Formats: sequence, C-alpha cells, structure tokens
Amino acid sequence: MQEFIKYGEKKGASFVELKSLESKNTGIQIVNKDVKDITQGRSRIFSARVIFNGFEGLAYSDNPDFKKIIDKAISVSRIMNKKADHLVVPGIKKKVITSFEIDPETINLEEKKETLLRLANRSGFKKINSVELYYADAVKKYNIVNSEGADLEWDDVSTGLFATAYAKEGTNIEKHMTVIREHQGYESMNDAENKVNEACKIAEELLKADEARAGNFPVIVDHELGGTFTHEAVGHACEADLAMQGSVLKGKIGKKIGSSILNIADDGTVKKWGWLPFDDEGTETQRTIIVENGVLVSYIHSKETAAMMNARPTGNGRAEGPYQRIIPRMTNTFILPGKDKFEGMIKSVKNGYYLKGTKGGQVDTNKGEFLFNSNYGYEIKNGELGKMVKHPSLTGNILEILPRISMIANKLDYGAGTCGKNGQAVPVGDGSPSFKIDLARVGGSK
Amino acid sequence: MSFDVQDVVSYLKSKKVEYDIYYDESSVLRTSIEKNKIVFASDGDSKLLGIRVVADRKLGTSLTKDVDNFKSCVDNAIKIAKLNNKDKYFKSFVASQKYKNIKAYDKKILDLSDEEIKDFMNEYISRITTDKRIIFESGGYTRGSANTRIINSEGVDAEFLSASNSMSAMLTMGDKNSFEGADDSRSLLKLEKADEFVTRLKESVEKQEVNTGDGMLLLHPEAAAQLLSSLIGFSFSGENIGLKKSRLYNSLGKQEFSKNISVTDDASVANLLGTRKCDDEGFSSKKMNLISKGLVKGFLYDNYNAKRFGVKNTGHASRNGVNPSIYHSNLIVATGKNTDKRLISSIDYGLYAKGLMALHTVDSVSGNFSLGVAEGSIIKNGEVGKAVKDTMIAGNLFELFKDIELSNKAVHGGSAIYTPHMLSKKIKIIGN
Repeated sequence: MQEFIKYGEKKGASFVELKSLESKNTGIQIVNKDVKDITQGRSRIFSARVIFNGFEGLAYSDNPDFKKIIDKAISVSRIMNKKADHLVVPGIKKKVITSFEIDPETINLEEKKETLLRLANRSGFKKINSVELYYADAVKKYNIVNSEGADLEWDDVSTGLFATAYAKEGTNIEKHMTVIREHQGYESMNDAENKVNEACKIAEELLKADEARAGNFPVIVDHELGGTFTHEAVGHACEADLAMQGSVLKGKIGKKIGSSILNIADDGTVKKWGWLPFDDEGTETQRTIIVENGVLVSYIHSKETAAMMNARPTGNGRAEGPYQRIIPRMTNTFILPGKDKFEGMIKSVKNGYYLKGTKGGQVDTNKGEFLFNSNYGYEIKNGELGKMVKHPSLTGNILEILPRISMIANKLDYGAGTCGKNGQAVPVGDGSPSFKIDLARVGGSK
Repeated sequence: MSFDVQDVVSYLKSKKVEYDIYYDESSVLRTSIEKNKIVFASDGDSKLLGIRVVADRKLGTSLTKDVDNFKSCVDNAIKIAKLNNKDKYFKSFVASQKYKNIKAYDKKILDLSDEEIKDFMNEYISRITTDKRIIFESGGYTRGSANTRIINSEGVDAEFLSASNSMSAMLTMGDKNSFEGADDSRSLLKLEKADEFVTRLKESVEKQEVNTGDGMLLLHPEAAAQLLSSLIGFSFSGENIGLKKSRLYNSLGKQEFSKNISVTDDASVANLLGTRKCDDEGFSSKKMNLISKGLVKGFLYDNYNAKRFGVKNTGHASRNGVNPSIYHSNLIVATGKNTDKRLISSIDYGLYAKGLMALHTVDSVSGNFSLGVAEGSIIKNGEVGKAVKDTMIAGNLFELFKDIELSNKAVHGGSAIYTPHMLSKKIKIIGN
C-alpha cells in the first residue's frame, strides 16, 4: 500500500492513512435441538483517510482501487468547514499474531455442529423449554499504513458462544443468557458446557423469583453489573470527545469524584475482549489510570482529542471498521481490586440487595444519569442473602453514586460486550470486583 | 472485472440446486458536526452477496463482500448444505410474485450535491444556535442508498431502490442542560425539526425530583413507538408464536389489548421508512391488521416460518445479508378522538414521557420493564410542569396496552412506527 501513500501526497494530501481489513467468519445457530443456520462469510474493505487543505476526508470501498478511494476522500473533505486537529506522531512498525491453542479453521463444521447439538440437549433441566446457542468464530487480517511511517498488521482469531435458556412453568416464561467471547482459538469452547448449564439453572430459578421492591437501598453489585456500571457510567464520561461535549466529568481532572478506595483503569493490553495491540490510528495501547484514590486523573484519547486538549494519545482511537470515523473508545475498563471480602460486604447490609449480571443499560453522560438492568438479585436481610428477585434495575446519577462506594472486594473478574457509540459498535471488555454502594435507587414493580 | 448477478444465477443453475440470491449495492455519505462546525465526512460504497442453496432439503448459506469471487461463496454454501441435516420444515423458496409499483423514497434525496448538503447542515446549525446559549455539540447528517436484487430458483426476480437521510443532534445549553434528538426520513429532511429540538431542550431546563408512587402515563409518539417496538418486535413475531416463546401464542382473535388500540402493518404508504414493494425474500408486501380494537388479528411471518407453522406468509422477512429475520414494515397506529391537549387536561397526576432509556432491557418474554425517563415532565391537574430527573417507570407491556387512550394525531415516532400520543391509566413512577 506504500505506493498509494505517495499517490495521495502527490495529489496534495498532507496526511494519508490506508487500511485493509479482510475477514472470514463462521456462525452456527442451534434452536430447540435443531440446526437453524450454518453460515460462512468473507468480507474485505479498503479505506483511505486524508487531510487535504487542512480538512479530513474518509472514503472506502470493497474494491482495492486505492487511487479511486484516495480521490474520493479528497473530494469529500470539501464538505467540512472546520480544519482537522491532527497530531503528528511518528508511526510504529509492528506485526502481531493472536496466540491460540486450536485454530478454529482446523475444526470441521461437522464437529462444531455436533458439539453444539450435544450442548443444546440439557435433559437434566426439566423446566427448560428451549435452548438457543449461537457459535461464532472469526479470522481477521488488519493492515494500517500512513504517511507518518506507521506499518502495522494484526492477524487475529476469536471465538464465542451465546447460550440462551428459556424456562417455562404454566404461563410463566423466563430466560437467561451466558456468553463466552475471547481472542482465542477453539479452546474457548472448553468452558461451554458450564456456561450452558449456568444459563439453564438461572432460567429455572427465575421462575420462582419475586419482583424487587422499588426504593432506595444499600446495594452490592457483582463483577458483571459492576463492569457494566464502570464502562457505562464512568468510562463513557471519560472519553475525551464526550468530556469536551459536556459530560459530567468535564473539567474535573484533579478533582475528587468518588470515594478514596476507588481506582479505575482502561487497559487495551489486557488480553480480554477489549484487547488491542494498537488502536485504529496505529497508536500502541496502554494502561491508562482514569480514577486514582477517587480522583479523576485522566481522560482517554484519540490523536484528534489529544491534539485538541494538549494531551498524549492513549491508544483509544477506535472505529467499528475502516469505513467509520475514529473517535475515543474504551478497550478493557475496570475497577481495580480493593481489600474487602465478599462475605463481609454482605454482612454489612441490614436491608438491601445483591444485584447480579447485566441485561445492559444506558447512560446520559451529560446529565450523568444512568439506568442498568441486572439479570437477577437477592434480598439482603440482616447480613444474609435472602430470596431471589428478577431483573431489578439500578438507576442514579454518576456523581452522587461514586462517593457512596464504600467497600470493594479483593477479586477482579471480567466480562465481554459490544459497545455502541455514534452508531458504531466495537468489542470491549469490562470488569470489576463486587462492590457496595451505601445507597442506590433500585427499580422493581413491587 | 465487473460483477453481474446473472453470472451467479448461471453458476448456481449449473450446480443443480434450489437457490436464493440476495445482492445489495449500497453507498453511504456520513458527516459529523461538533460544536457548531462540520468536522468530518466520509463517502463509501459496498456490495454484499448472500447465497442460500437447498439440495436434498438440506440448507446451506454463505455470504461475501468480495463479490468478484462469487464462485467460492456458492461452493461454500453447497458444502455447508451437504453437512447440514435435512430441514423438515423447509418446503421451497418464495414463489414467483407480482409486484405493485410503490413510491419508496423521494428521488430528491439522491439529487442533493455535496454543496447542497453542506448548505443544509449550515442552515440547521444556524437555526439551532439562533439562541447563542445553545451549542450543537455533536451529531450529523447521513444519506444512504441501496439497490437490492433478489433472485431465486422459483422465479422471483425483484429489484428495488431505496434512499433515506437522517440528522442526529445533541444540543447543550450551559453545563447541565442537554437534549438528544434524531430525524430520519425517505423524504428530504425539514429544517423545522431543528426548531422542535430547541424547544424541547428549553423545556427540559428546570428539573424536579418526583416521589415514588402510581400515576397516569402520557406517552409522546417517540416514547410510544419505543414501547410498541418492544411489544411487536418480539411478541408478534411468527417464529416466537410458533415456538410458544411469545405470551400471545394462543391469543389470535382474543381481546388482549384496549378496545381503543388498532395497529396495522402497511408497506404501501408512499415514502415512509418501512415502505417496500416486497420483503427481503421477494414476497409481495400486503397491508395487514395486527391489532384491531384490541383484538389480536395477525402475526408477522417470513417464508420459512410460515411454511414451518402451516400459515400464510405475510412478507416480513428482513435481512442484511443471507439469513432472514422477521421485522415489521410501517406500523401504523389508528388515531383516537381526543386532542393531545385534552388528554393532558384529563390527567390529575402523571408523567409525560417523551423519551425512555435502555429499551433493550425490556424483558421481551414476560413484558416486564423498568426504564429510565430520558425526557419527561410531571403533569399535575391537567398542566405540564417541570422536567423530571432520576426517574424510572416500571410495569408490564401487556398490561400497559390493556388500558390506553389515543390522541387524534399520529406522527413518526421512530423505527417506522407512526403513532399518536397514548395515555395509560396507571404506571409505577419511581423517584425518591
């Protein structure tokens, strides 16, 4: 692609970045002990991003005619009326190959199908009406070159399994989903049976669960809900573009926003679902401490926001694909472990809830308001776990909740998800130890 | 080498299999606005080829964006079919159809030059920032177009063009006041929407906490569309009905909802977001009733699930690639008798919700929900008061639509759902 960099420069572009992404995917869906779909696909996309007369333009195509793509990028840059904030950073050269034990392409489709059909047959769970499984693996080759010397390649392999179990008793139907998503080979499936059993067990238990009471309570959240909270409520507000647009953490660098035991990091080097060897601008990823002892110490940046805020890029410039704009995005975002033991945290609550798992949520970063739905939870009465409740939600304001985190457990676990922002979806990891919020608003219909 | 979909047809015929081809050429122009300036634009095109083959009642599917290498895509689909079990439910692909000419989009969208798009965005920004306290923080204009071709071995050969444009806007006024809005259409966007966004931002400036308790719930068309989308999307899917995952699986012809509510699915209305002459398997689209005066009148099916469960195909296959899923076209809620103002004046105490948060967390099976109110106000004694903060509503979709009144004016609420205001008599409002 180097020759086309020169073509772009000859055309007058002061910066040229070219990308190619080629991938092969396999998906197998099982519904009710039958194969619903087996699909294999290939895709490829080529893009050019230029700065021309100070304005940025991006063009892409599935045809690798880079001269045409560069011409189109230059043409579309004329729509802009604000010059690009571009940070000149010497490019790095790097080739990364995701390590794995079993190449998913060496396992034939027949074997994958038979494994999934066996997993879907959960005859030991009498109230399970249906088990749905979706298996996916992907092999990708991603290249970035730019006029500042970057020459990067990542050969990635990933596998995943989504298991959803439906339990039925009379007219009452409940479901629960568990997920495996790893930058690994087929060895990720070693834990598949446990994950499917977990989905079935929880779905059956939810049939007997009561609705949660609505109101304000002390709440302990587990690592899954805690990870979602960290990502949605804190991580997004720390993305530099949103901070500049007026997120609740705008102008709060150096200020105390949470309790003194709270430490939060974004780290693209941890080999979880948000792992990236380099971001979509070619910046190496790193561990960025966002909150240290309750004090906000850093935002996360792309090169553009780093230029605008006189900061250093943090390896968080990401795009869903070469066809999208690069903006600050999280990688793996998590609360660092504390010193408390889980049992002691439960004992400290007289009347409250322990909330587990996440069905997702939403946050308004400007208002600081958030809402997350947990999968299920348990009442806590006089320091002991009580009856199960289904789908309680947790809502509040970020700046009011963070100072109320009073206990953090000593064990960190991660989850995997897909983050949506500005119409772009990217893989992310999030994590947290269990932690206690002294007072939070729980939503339920009782 | 230029790609011709007829070459795929010839290759598939040589393999002596039943086949279904989904071919899509699309282009998208995206822009970004930040702090009152146009800061980014991209322009691109892509092609997608999805192949389904059936040999000896075994189904194989494959897709590619590298369409010049279509032969490997076809070969892969055939390889997968050989591996697959016989599908006892598959009968055949959609039979040859006759299509009505339907105006699916306004051609003026595609005639807009880059310069005209730039002028439109500048005018939009200018209208929003007439009050200098307001900043157009982020958002942008997007124009997309697609040319889709569906060909199968049963004689279907359908081609259709569509184009749409949209504007998203996040506005702020001072540090604590913000508003997010979006407008999308298959007709040219109107600048008046910018004025509406400004009005709604200003209405949300003063906020109050509310106490937890029961009240009435007035749903703005945008919030009504959010809840209706959750209900129809899962519970009226023919697949979920057939598999008894939907609570409505035994409800056809039964009074499950308020007599005040009627919902039709109609793909034939000119230039709406769900307008089309056929679905994504080439089945001709027809108007159908889903709910008529509260009675459940029909469910949505694609070709496979209709044949699987022994009912008629309703033409609701949707796909962005190879495998169809079931999705509605335009959902049109019949209007009621009262004006919006009259509905408001009938409320002693309640919540006026214009936008809800975290709709994906609705429990689609049971219908239970607990949702944040992104934009809303308290109504007391028939008067709309201050905006609410840190407020949730909790209830059940099926119960909510059992006791509902509708206003006499429907507008686009989002997701191709056209609905009036809706008033529910009782909801749990969660605040302090």
